[in-house]
Order: sequence, then structure tokens, then C-alpha cells
Amino acid sequence: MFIISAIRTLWLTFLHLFHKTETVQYPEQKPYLAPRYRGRIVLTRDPDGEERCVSCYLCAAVCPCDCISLQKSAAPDQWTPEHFRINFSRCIFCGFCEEACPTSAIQLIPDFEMSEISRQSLVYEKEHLLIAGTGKVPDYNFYRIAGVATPGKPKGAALNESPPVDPRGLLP
Amino acid sequence: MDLNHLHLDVDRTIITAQPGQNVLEACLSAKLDLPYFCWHPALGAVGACRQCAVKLFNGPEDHTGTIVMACMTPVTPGMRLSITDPATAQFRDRVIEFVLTNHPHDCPVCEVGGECHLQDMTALVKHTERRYRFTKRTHLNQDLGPFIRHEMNRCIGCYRCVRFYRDYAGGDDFGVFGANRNIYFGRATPSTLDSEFAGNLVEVCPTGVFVDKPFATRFRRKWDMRATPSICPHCAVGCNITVQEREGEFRRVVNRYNAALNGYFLCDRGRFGVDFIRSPARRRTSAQRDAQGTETPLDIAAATAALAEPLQTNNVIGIGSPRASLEANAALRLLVGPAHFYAGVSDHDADIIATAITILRDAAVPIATPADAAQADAVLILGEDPSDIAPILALSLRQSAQRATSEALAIRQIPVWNDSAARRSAAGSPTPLIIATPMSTRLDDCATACLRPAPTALLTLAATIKAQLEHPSAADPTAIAAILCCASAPVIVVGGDSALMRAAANIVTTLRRIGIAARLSILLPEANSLGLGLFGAPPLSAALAAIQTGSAPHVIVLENDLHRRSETGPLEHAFSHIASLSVLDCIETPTTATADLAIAVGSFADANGTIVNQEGRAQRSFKAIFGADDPAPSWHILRNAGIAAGRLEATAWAGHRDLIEAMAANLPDLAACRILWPHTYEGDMQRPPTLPHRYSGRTAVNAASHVREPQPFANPDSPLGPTMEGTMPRTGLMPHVWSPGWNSVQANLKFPSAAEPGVMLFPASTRIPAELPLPHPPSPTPGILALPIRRVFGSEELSNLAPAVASRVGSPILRLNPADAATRGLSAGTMVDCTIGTTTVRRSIALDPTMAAGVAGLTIGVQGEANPPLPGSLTITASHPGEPS
Ligand code: SF4
Ligand code: SF4
Ligand code: SF4
Ligand code: SF4
Ligand code: FES
Repeated sequence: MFIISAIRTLWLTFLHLFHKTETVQYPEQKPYLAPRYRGRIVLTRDPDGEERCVSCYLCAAVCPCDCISLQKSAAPDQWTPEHFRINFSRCIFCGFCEEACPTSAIQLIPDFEMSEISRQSLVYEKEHLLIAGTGKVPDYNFYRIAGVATPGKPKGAALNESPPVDPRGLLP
Repeated sequence: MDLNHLHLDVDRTIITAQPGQNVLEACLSAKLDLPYFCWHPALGAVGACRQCAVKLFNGPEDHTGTIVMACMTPVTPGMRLSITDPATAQFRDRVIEFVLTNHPHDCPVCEVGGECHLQDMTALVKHTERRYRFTKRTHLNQDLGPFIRHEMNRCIGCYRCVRFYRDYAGGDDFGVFGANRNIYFGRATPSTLDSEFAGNLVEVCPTGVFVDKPFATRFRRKWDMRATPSICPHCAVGCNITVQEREGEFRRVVNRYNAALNGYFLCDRGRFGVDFIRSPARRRTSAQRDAQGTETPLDIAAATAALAEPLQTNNVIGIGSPRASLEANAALRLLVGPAHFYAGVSDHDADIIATAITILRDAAVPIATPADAAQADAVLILGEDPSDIAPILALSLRQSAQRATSEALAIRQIPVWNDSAARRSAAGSPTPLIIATPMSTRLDDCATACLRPAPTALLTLAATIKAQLEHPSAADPTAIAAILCCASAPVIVVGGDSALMRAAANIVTTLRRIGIAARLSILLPEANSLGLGLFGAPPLSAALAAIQTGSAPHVIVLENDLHRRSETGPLEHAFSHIASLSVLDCIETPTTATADLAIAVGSFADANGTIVNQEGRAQRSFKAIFGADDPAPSWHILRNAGIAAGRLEATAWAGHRDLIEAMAANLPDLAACRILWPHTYEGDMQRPPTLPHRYSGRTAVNAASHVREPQPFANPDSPLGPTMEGTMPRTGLMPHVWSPGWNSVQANLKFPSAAEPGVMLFPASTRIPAELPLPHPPSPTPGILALPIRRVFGSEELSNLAPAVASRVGSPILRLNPADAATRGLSAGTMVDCTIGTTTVRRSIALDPTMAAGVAGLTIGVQGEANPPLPGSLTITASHPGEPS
């Protein structure tokens, strides 16, 4: 029995000489990564080119590694993050942050080439995360829908809103 | 059978309820989840939102049942109810769907997101889908001042805000406008909300309409902030607060429920005043000043060594403070010795505090908590307006005055929680509130009688009331004695004058003697006035005298700005005789500016500390802010300086507990502080965690400077754990009030007993209190007698430094009777120089037509100004504009 099994193994190994090779010549040859592959995280902009992140803290709350830290700026109306930091040395690329984000600001992209010599270099600040475009969600602009007034969008000007009511009027 | 409980059958489960509750309250107390919006434990029920529907079965044979509003249904024994009944569940689902038709798409940018009662209730009802496809109604916001931001789109029309602001807090500049689906909650014209309780709208509103404005500039979600139980440092009521912090930075203050004191509410001085700890006027570094006035910054080790120098001599005087904790005062007193320790308050304040101690400790007069005041069936206010000195007490007094007595309600069979009926019935039989003060008060609007006697007449009035109580046949023109006699639990509030306090205590004693459970409430000036008084130290004037007779002593001043306590002349004269002046303070003051050694110390939020409120209730606050470079607490610095000076006793206070023991051994009055928190927590892994269980960003927050996570703080001196680990207690020491599915402040209903009462240093006794001798009546003051006016915003030293509070401070006034003003040719708005003793301050005239003749009210506590020695004889001179006063 033992001899047969050994011979069979040798035979199978020999046959592999004639199989198509699976080795990818990385980095000369790049693998295909689907657009929804969960790699490096970016912060995108809305179609008007403004920062999309409204510093709602939901990504930070959902992150199982607690590796997102941000702070809302002092501005009262249009919320934006004063700082936004991801410690990629902790991130497990689970994509929960992307799922939680109500504005599609935070997105995972098909890039995993983030190796560094020093762990400290894996701490990305907002300027490292922010990209110029809208990423995978081309159209969405949170502030066009939200009820808060923003510069250039007074009350009642958002999608599906009536003009502000006159509280002194008694008509329905 | 227990007569104090009754049993309800809710979905075949038996729950226990208290008689007099409504079904909603009973269900929530039994930890059942039932959604609601308009009911509030303090505001009662009006049945406005229709969200709390349950099915009520009329006996065991009834299988159909009727849908009723739980909040408007009194509990009855054996009642059978269903919450899960499908028709009722659908009813609740439709109600919330309707509420949300106009709700904005704001949650991510809404300041209450994550602690929103509307979010919680929507999740509870499991409403997920929006079917309404028409446009949303929108509203314009109003600018409501420095404390509150308005975001009216988020309103769900539950009416809690107007019910709180107008009905509960007595405000009249906020209301509801419009009709139908357009109703609008705001002011007639956009402007600052007048009421000093406006900040409570943030917690009362179940949505994000009212936003804590200063907090919004350094916003964090509730789940991201460390929360620490604390005590408000801004007045002598001692309201319980929760201080929230993130990354070493103070974020906000929220209410911490305490049934006896503040209940569910805080005043705006407490809520927004704590921001002083971020103010530019905070002293963060220690410094030494040489003879030329040049400052050399010192690190903490050098500052401690410098403080050790005076302690090595035998010639040192310590001056304590009513805004420092017992611990800090005790450490200084132990180091300089009881004979060299002085209280650092004016003679007038010292007199009031000493009298309060006589009344509380020696005479054992029963004291009224704010909760007692709210339940009182007759109230007499003597001498001072509590609205500005003890705002939460004033709010409680307003509750008793604005509602019919519980007896009157019982006769009419109106449950106490039935808010609108209970208020309406007050119109016919109001609870007596009699105000006898020299000046008008801000409770006059709900008083049944207002008298305006001058201080001497006030003493006579108090003596007359007592005489009439003893001899009912005596003439009683004011009928006050008759009213007090008819009550069963009257409350007398007194302040401002020690003779009047004694007279008021005697009225309570007389009432007790005739079998009426009367109580006294004494107004004291500062957060730890009573605690400092219990050290029995002489006032500041005695310290100044000792300095002048001594041989150039070294002076150590603890967290005190002496310029607010004494006239400038005597102070500077005394200080020209001293060898050195060392000042420990958390803020920059005129006193630190003249010190030879100014040491930065932690604020109340940087250290564990005990303070004693005006009832004699000792309460402890804990280190709440964990910043890397925060100054150490005063008593740590004093201890280390003491050790450096070779004072062996200081080595014994290694920890907070040791210092408390040393203090208790010296001062038996304060011995009860030992039991404030059990000391079994040392090394305890199960300490209540101050970080919430979803504290985010822990591996990234410090990563900008170093990617490796630092060790958590140890916080060895606290019963609270500094991390997320531990067990949440179900009682007072609960940093986070949270229950699954209940993320908003409404979660505190799930813990009806979770309040921390503190320790009463002078527990109530049943014996009849002793009668107090009255001092001889004072000789009449020549000319006009000036009395102090304290203001909610602007008269308290620390809260004045919070930017939002500072912007609410009005210009200081001299309040006069129009006749007195006319004889001097003064009219409203005129600027005058007011001289009392040797101090002159500039004020603008305000006329008060009801004011007693010959009396003037003078605003005190003005930032950067020496307080005039009040009460005192006033000289008014026309001021010459442009000339400094
Ligand atoms: S991918 Fe996962 S681990 Fe990484 S930041 Fe997002 S939530 Fe955190
Ligand atoms: S969830 Fe999205 S919008 Fe919110 S803070 Fe994170 S990135 Fe910004
Ligand atoms: S009030 Fe509540 S439900 Fe409404 S936007 Fe704010 S968080 Fe969301
Ligand atoms: S503003 Fe808030 S409290 Fe007032 S009615 Fe609207 S939702 Fe209720
Ligand atoms: S809570 Fe019962 S109707 Fe509003």
C-alpha cells in the first residue's frame, strides 16, 4: 500500500510539469482586482468637488479595530472633519466603514500595495486619504438632500422640500 | 398584601407599579419598552403625541380591548394590558410614520444623532420604510443666543419644549406659533432666550431642534466621550452633573439625575459655565515673579520646591477658599496649622456661613432640599431672591407655586402627573408663595403675595410671624402666620443676613413645636461655602490683621482671588508687610498677578474633591479630564511641598483616602465624608468604566505622534475605572446612563433609583430644634443702605470665564426706588459712582418701583472689579464719563 501511494504521488508531481503555470510575475505582472476589492481606503469628493465626509463619526464607531480617528471642525452648518486619520497598521480592510458611511465618502479601493518599513508610515492623515474624484459613487451629494442649510443652499432648497413655512400664517 | 404596590398584567407578565403612577411610567420602570414622546417624568403627561398606545382589557372576559394612551391612564389594581397586541403595534407604527413624513435627512449631521430619542423610538417601533413621497415642510431657524442653536426642521411637534419653558420654568419669551402642520416652536422675534433654564431644552427635546452651541464647536458623539459623575462648582445647591471629555479636552456638561437636588434639570450657569476650564484665563503654568515683576516660568518640580520654602519657616499663614474642595483646604490647614489657617471670605460671608452652621448643626433645624421645596404646600421667602443665587432651588419653588397642592389635587381626583389638569386647578387654589424681600425678585410672577420691607422691617416681620404663631390671637395683618399654620409641609427660604436667618430658623422651630413639618432652606454664596465654614477658620480680615501684627509672614493663598473678598486698601496695606505671597489657582486672577509664586493647579474637573452644599450635603466629584499636561490638584502640590519641607505628616496622605482620614481625624464635623464612596475599589477590575462601550478610535487617536498605543491612565484614587473595562453599577456611580435600545438621556427612566444622594453631614433628627437667640437689632444705616445683587450670569467667578456665559452678562446696575432716585435727580440709565466704605464702583441706575425706600441694590461679582463691602451705607455721586471709576 505504502509503495503504491508513493508512486502515485511521484506520478502526479511529474504530470504537473505539463500543466499551465499559475505563478503571477508580481510586481511586473499585476493581478486583476475587481472594483469592489477591499484595499486602501480613500476619502472621496462629491460631484461638486467638495469634501464628502461630514464627520458623522459613524465609520469610527463601526470600525472593529478602532483605527479611525477624526474630529468635526467648529463650523456650525456644513460639517467637515478638522482631521481624519486612519491607522492602517491596525486596519483589517473589512469594509465596515464604507458600509456605514451615509455619504459614500469613505471607500475601499483595489490597491493593497501599502507596505512600509516603519509602522508609523502607515498612519494616514486626511491629506493622504482625500482623492480628487467621486470614487465608485458618481452622483451622490449628501447636502443636496439634508435639511440643514449650507452656504448656497438655504432652507427649503434641498431635494423634496417645500419652501419654509410662515409661522404667522394660519392657512393650512 | 403590600399596600404600597399594585400589580398589572402586561401581556401575561405581572409587573409591579406604585399607586398614583400612569401606565407608561409603570411599564418603563418595569423595564418594558414602550415608545413615547410627549411624556416626561418631571413634566407629566398631556397625551399629545399618541405614541404610547397600549391595549386595555376590561376584565378577564374582554378579548377585544380598547386602545388607550398609556401616559394618560392611571394604574389600577389588577389591570390587564397588552403592548404587543398587533392592532396597537400597528397604531404606534402609523403614528411614527406620520411624525417622520417631514423629518429632514439630517441624522449624520445632527448633534443628537446617536443619543436621539426619535431614533430610539423609530428603531423600537421597527419603522423602516418611507412611503410618503411628497415634499417635506421646512422651517427657518432663529438665533436663540450663545447657548442654544435652533434647527427647527427636526421638530416633531411633541410640545415638550413649550411645556418646559413656559409651564415648568416660567419663561414667557418662547412659545408655539402657527397652525396645522406648520406649527413652529420659537420666539416671536429671533433673539437670545431669556430664561436661565433654556439649556434644558437640549435634553428635554426628544430630537435635535435645540443644540448645545458651545459643544457643537468641539462636537463628539455621546458614545465617544468619557463621562464622569461630578458636582456643579458654580453655586451652593450642588447640582449633580456629568462632565464629558474626549482626548483630554472638556466637551460638555449634561444633567445627572438626583432626586433630592436637581432632578432632571440644570441651570445654564452650571451647564455652560464649566467651559471656564477651557478659557484663556486658565492658568496652566507656574511662575515665579521677582521684585521687578519679571515672571520666570517654573516646571512643577521647581514650583513645588519653591512652595516648600515658606513651609519650612514657622511664619506662614494659609488662606483657604470656598471654591476649593475640602481636600485642598484640609491639606493647607494641616500644613500651616489650624491657628494660621484663615477662611478667605469677607466678614459678611463668614457671618452668614457661621450662622448657617449654627442653625444646621447646633440647632438641628430641618433643612429643605429643592425636592422638598417643590412639594411644599406653602413657601415664605425672606431676604434674598433665590433665582440668582440658587437657580435650581428657585425652579423647584416655582413648581410648588404653579401647581395646586397635592391635597387639592387629591380632592379633585386629579393625578399629579396629569399636567394640564393639575396646572389648571392651581388657578383656583394656588399654593401660597409669599415673598418678603427688599427688592423685587424673579419669582414675583408666581407669588401669591409680595412684601417689600427694608432689612430692619424684615427682621420685625420675621419676629412678628413667630409671635403670631405662638399666640394665634395676636393681630396678623399680613396673614403669613395663618397661612403657615394651615400648611402641613411649609418651606422657608432665607438668605442675605445672619439675624434674619436666625429669625427664620426660629419660625421653623415654632412651627415644628405646633406639629407642622416645616423646613428651612438657607441661601449660601458659593459652592463650598459651608464646607469651608466647617473648618471654623476666621475670615480674611483676621488674616490681614494677623499679617500686620506678625513679623513679615509668608502667605499661601489657595484658589482664591482676595481682591473679590476685601477692599483694596487694607489688602494692599497688609500685603506690603509680607515676606512672600504664594498663590495656587486654576485661573488667572488679580491675586495671582501680584503673587511672588503663582502655581497652576487643576480645576474641579482635574481632581477628586468633596464639597458641601448649602444643606450640609457632602458630595464628591471625580477627576474627569485626562489631558497629558493638566496641572496637578492643589492638595497633591501642597503634599509634595510639605514633604519637601520636611513635614512628616504630609507623607501620610499618599492618596485621596489618606487625606480624607487625616481631615476627618481633625474635624469631626467632616468625618462623614469618609463614607462618601466605599474604598473597596483599589485594584478593583470591576470599577465602573468611564469610557462608553463604543469608545471609538482608540488605536488611531494618538497615532499621529506615535503609532504604538499608550498605557491607559491609572486613576488610582478614584472608584471609577479609566478604561472601558468594568461593571456598570445600577446606582449613583453610573457614569453612563444607557440601556439597550435607549441611547438618549431618556434611558435614566430605566434606572429609577439611580441617584447619588451624597452624605448629609447633619442628618435630620426628629427632635424639636433649639430656638436661637437673636442679636440686637442693628443701628440704622445713615443714608441709603446698599444690598448686594447677585446675578445668574456675571456674579460667579468661575462661570464668568466661560465665553458663552460671559456674553450673557449684562451691564452692572444700581437698583433704586423711583422716589429715592428722584430726590437725587437720577433717572434710569444714568451712570453714577457708588461709594461704599472706601470702594467706588460705577453703575447705571435701574428703577424698581416696588423696592423698599432707603435701600439700593448693587450688582456684585463683576469681573475684574473689587467687590464693595456690602451691605453698607452708599454714597452716590454723578459720574464723569471718560474718567475711570
Ligand atoms: S476597513 Fe474595517 S478595519 Fe479598516 S478602517 Fe474600515 S472599518 Fe476599520
Ligand atoms: S462615515 Fe463617512 S461621512 Fe461619516 S465620518 Fe466616516 S467618512 Fe465621514
Ligand atoms: S433629530 Fe434624531 S432622527 Fe432627526 S435628524 Fe437628528 S438624529 Fe436624526
Ligand atoms: S422642538 Fe423638540 S420639544 Fe419642541 S415640539 Fe419640537 S420636537 Fe418637541
Ligand atoms: S407619551 Fe403618551 S401620548 Fe405622548
